[in-house]
Amino acid sequence: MYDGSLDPAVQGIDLEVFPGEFFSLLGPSGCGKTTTLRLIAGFERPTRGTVYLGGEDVSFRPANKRDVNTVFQNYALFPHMTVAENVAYPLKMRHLDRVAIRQRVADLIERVEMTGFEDRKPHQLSGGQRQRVALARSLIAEPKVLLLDEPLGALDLKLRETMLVALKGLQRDIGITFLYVTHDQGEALGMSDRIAVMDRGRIEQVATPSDLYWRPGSPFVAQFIGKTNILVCTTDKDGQLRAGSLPVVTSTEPKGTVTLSIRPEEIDIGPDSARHPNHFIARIEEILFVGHEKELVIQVGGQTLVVRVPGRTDALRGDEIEAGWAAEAAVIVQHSGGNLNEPLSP
Amino acid sequence: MKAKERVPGQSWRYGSLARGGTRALLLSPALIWVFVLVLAPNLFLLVNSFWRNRLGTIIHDFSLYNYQRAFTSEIFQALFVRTFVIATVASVVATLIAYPAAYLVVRRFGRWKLTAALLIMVPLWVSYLMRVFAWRIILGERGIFNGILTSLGILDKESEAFLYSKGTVTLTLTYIVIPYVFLAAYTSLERIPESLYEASADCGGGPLRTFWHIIWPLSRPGVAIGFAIGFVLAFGDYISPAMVGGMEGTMLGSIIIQQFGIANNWPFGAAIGVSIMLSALLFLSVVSLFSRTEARFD
Repeated sequence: MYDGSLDPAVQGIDLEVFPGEFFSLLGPSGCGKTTTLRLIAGFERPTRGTVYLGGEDVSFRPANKRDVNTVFQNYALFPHMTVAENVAYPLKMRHLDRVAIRQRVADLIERVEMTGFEDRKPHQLSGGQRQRVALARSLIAEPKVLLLDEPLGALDLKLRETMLVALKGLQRDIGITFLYVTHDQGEALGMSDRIAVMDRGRIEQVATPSDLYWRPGSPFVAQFIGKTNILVCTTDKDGQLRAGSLPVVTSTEPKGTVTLSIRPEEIDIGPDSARHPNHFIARIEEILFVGHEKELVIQVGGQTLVVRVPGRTDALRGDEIEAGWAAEAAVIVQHSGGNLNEPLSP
Repeated sequence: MKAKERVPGQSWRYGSLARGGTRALLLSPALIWVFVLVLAPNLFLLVNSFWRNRLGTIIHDFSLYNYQRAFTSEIFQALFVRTFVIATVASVVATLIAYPAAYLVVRRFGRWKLTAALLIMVPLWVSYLMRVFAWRIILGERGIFNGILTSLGILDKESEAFLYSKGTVTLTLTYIVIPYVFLAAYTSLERIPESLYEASADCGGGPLRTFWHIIWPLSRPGVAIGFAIGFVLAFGDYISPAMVGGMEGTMLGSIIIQQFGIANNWPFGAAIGVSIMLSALLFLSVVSLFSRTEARFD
């Protein structure tokens, strides 16, 4: 809880991260993912709750006595030390002898491809290089868990992609548990074994990237991970599920009010779509060109839907087209107000 | 569109004469200030120190007589050593008090940080003379300190011992210098981002080692500057010795004011002044060797 605030920064965080796992905390800014990371690192003390590390309660153990290391968002390299001194620092704190330290430092610096830069100061390095030095410093003491706080946030797009691949490879190589905090769903989906999606201090869903994408547990998750169409449907007196006036067929037969998520790429257009049980005539409201794909905004029976189609489609704005989707394409993300994964008691 | 790049210091080469004129005009206040208030007085002092005094008249022939006289005089030597010791002790003690205070304020005062810092700086708003005089009120024969001691029965009657000594001058100068050292230490500690403390803890460094390996090296240049300011202030001071020093607490500054005043021997006073400046410069260049830390914050 922050000073002078009644709302906890995070609550209802019940997470278990397995050894050797690449685990991501994903959520919009201000959702509490960094606070969660800082609780694990030991920079914050929980007002309630427990942090276990390898089965041991470390909730009130100071940061310097925890077997975790952090890669800071701004790298937090020591500006008065050279690259080699920065990387050696954790071992120096552990009183290793000089020869052993020198050997390990050389290893790590080579691993992050910074050989030849040992005697530079941080301000003589580029963003990507600092990032790699920070990584080396946090890995040298072989922590149980490596915490990464938006480590790629300060890098430009091209570099970010390179570092993404490098990080993933590094994690696979050394087998240390990575706990990765990001607001970028692309990063999280690409690298993680599992992801916890957070919103407003709570965990919305914990799942593998593909489960999150194809089986989102709440409207928030569905909308936060990729693009989606959300349809709020009710069963009418004949037992027909309808979104407004639009009749909708799903693979299950839900009762009452449900919220459905349909991914844009699950909706087919053209005569081909006639094979689907959900088949309609739609009007194209807008066409957005996104390279290999086109994004169409279509109107169906009062509902606005986003559709992704191959980039060569030559539909025009204002055209009437056929559109349809399979019964399985619609995923129920919410039943009568409650999220699927939300506990029954408040 | 490409923005036109301007290389600093090169623009005038392509610009008109008028622009060069503007430049000189813009710079002139600073240049005049430096010349009138910094260069000219020092040159005057330097030139004077090579002339001689005969019965209050200055004889304009070049000689090193004043320096010779000063450095062979036992009184001067004794005063020089005393002044050096007093200034060093005062600025060292002030640093030992001000630096931890600054550290405490920066690290522990949270949102009251600025208020606390301002409170420590408050004495600077009061006239220098008043600040020195305050110590006479505290330590004088009818002063607060004596009052407390006699009323507690520790002393039978008021003592003169607390005023007019080397110790009193050192104490007063320490007090005078503390805000300056504090200011320098505070600014240098303030600049160190929280994430460096956390990074050090994260790497396994406890509070003491974090301080020793990270915080001290990064704040040392600032502290050295504060210490240097304090030393220079104390080294050349003549007000404190005059007000609380008595005979025993006389310092070099006191002689200078005598020479320029009652003794009316400007050349000799100038020679001592130049000697003070040169030795302070020498001392500071030694200090600056310890103040260098190459570090840049983003």
